[in-house]
Amino acid sequence: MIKVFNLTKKYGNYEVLKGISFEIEKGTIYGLLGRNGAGKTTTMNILTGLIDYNRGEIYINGKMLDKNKRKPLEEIGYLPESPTFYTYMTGSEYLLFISKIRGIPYKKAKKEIDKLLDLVKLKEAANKKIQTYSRGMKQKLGLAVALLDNPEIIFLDEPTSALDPESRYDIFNQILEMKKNGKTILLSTHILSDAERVCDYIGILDKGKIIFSGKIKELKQKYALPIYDIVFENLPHNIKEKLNNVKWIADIKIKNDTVSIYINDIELAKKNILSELSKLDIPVISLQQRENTLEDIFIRLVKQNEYI
Amino acid sequence: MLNKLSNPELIKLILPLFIIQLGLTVFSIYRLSKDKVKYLPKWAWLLIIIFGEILGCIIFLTIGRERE
Amino acid sequence: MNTFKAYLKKEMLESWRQYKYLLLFIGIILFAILDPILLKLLPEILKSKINGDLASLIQIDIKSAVQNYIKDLNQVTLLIVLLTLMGSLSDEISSQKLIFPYSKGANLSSIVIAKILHYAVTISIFIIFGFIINYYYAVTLFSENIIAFKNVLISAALISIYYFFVIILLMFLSSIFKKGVLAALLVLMLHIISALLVNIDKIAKFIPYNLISLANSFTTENILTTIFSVLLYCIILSLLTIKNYKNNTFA
Ligand SMILES: Nc1ncnc2c1ncn2[C@@H]1O[C@H](COP(=O)(O)OP(=O)(O)OP(=O)(O)O)[C@@H](O)[C@H]1O
Ligand SMILES: [Mg+2]
Repeated sequence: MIKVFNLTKKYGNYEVLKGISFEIEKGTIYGLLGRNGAGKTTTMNILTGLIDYNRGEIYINGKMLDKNKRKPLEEIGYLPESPTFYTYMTGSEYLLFISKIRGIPYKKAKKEIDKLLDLVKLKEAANKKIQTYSRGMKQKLGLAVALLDNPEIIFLDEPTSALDPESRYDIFNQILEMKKNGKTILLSTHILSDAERVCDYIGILDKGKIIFSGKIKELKQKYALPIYDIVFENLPHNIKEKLNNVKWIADIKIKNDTVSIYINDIELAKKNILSELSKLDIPVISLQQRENTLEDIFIRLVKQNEYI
Repeated sequence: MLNKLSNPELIKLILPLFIIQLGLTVFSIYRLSKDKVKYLPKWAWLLIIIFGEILGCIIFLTIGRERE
Repeated sequence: MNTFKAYLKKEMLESWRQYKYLLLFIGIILFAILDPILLKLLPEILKSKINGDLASLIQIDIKSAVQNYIKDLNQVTLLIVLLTLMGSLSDEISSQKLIFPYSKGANLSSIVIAKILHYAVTISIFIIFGFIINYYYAVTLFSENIIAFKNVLISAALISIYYFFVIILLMFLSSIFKKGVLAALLVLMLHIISALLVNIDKIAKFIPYNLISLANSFTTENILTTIFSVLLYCIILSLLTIKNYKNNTFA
């Protein structure tokens, strides 16, 4: 449904996207992850035709997204990260305004707007001016706008960043519902557990490159290295230095009394963890092995990318 | 020349002016009490509205209010 | 066409809710009433301050009463119009309000045209209305040197065309600088400069400000050259505005 090949974007001399490629199949949800300033919003703005790009090719629904032709974009919905409206309008007036732009007849528009307001749970505020809305309410209204006229492809830039837990849950259910109806969705988020919950595929964007693109399961299989949590009787003060040159240790984190050892070679780690600990000569209370979370994987990947 | 017009007639001609002036001042003060203001504190805007007459009102309404 | 209609309606709602209609109305109509009355009362006021002889020197007739209104239309009123409209285009660009409409297929040219036409028509209606009121006051309060109502309407049309030009210039400058205040200041500067340039006979008829001079003299001679040149500038500036708008809006 969406194919991006070797996409490059520069702001002045600063290259934000250094030739990224990925593909999103029809009826799937693709999550774009990356830290602040990684280029998620930039990517979305390019794919929705808002800004130009320097090099690369983009195909939407088989049609090439050319700089001047917006034809392929007729079937999209975009929720930007901080949606702005004409705030002197009410929520339903704004939706009606957008329906007019799309040329939807009044009666049909009214019906659809009612449905959308229900869906994002904004019925009560529908006739209040948007200037009185909270950030979360604006985000909900923005989602309703994006979904207006039933687009095939939906771009959501951090769609739940301003939402309370309950609304977040609702919205993700809606997103899953949309997928069931065959919609293709690209969403960006900082919250990895959210990505884990709804995305079929994820892409990790860092330093202008996609450093991973694929199923979450693949990511976990490939990078799921266990972490050892060790509790010592007295927290050794210079443990980091002592274990610094052990080859299979990637990182050491200390939180309260627990020392977490991140490893990069599972076989070596299994063999040597005990001997390394006994070398320290400090009484150990407990040693536990745990699966690392998506968060850990993300941090590690981004970190690895730093050394390249 | 003035004598050609009787006083009531002149008043009739001036009346719309009064109504506009009064209406605009009242309206501006009403907006001042409700809206957020920019650049100056509210009391300063109030002085501008009252002593700046119509132009003061217009300046308040165009640049003195926070639109969002 | 859908975009044009949607935006025309949006501009109307915006002007109503943000009191732009009110401000434009007062900025244009007020002086139509205020000027003749002040002119009428002026000799009386002066008489009490200075000697009667001097006051009787100020002779005010119908023509000069209307001319006084024209003077205000290109001074105070222009200022009020600029104050009221200056944020209109630049706000939308700088605050990204166009992302939703644009991503839903809005046509940027239609947006610009809807905006320009809306304000042009609104201001023209107010100006014509203002001249009618002003003429009524002028003939009621003064008696000498009458001018035909037809000529007053022509002046109203000329001033309306000048405002049409001013609106487009403002939009054009906003599309370049993205700052409404800056655009408004530049319009004001150009207005003042062209008031000087219009004294050069050779180029006068190609300068938009000449519309005001023509309106002020109530002649219909040689007005077409100026009207057509101004309309040409308007078309060129609109096209440039649309082009800038497309390039700058989301960059
Ligand atoms: N208009 C612009 N001009 C210059 N640089 C820009 C512009 N827009 C974005 N950038 C830069 O491009 C980079 C990517 O920005 P982008 O907004 O895409 O990041 P993001 O991944 O969406 O971040 P966040 O998680 O904070 O939303 C940043 O370094 C930013 O400074
Ligand atoms: Mg972003």
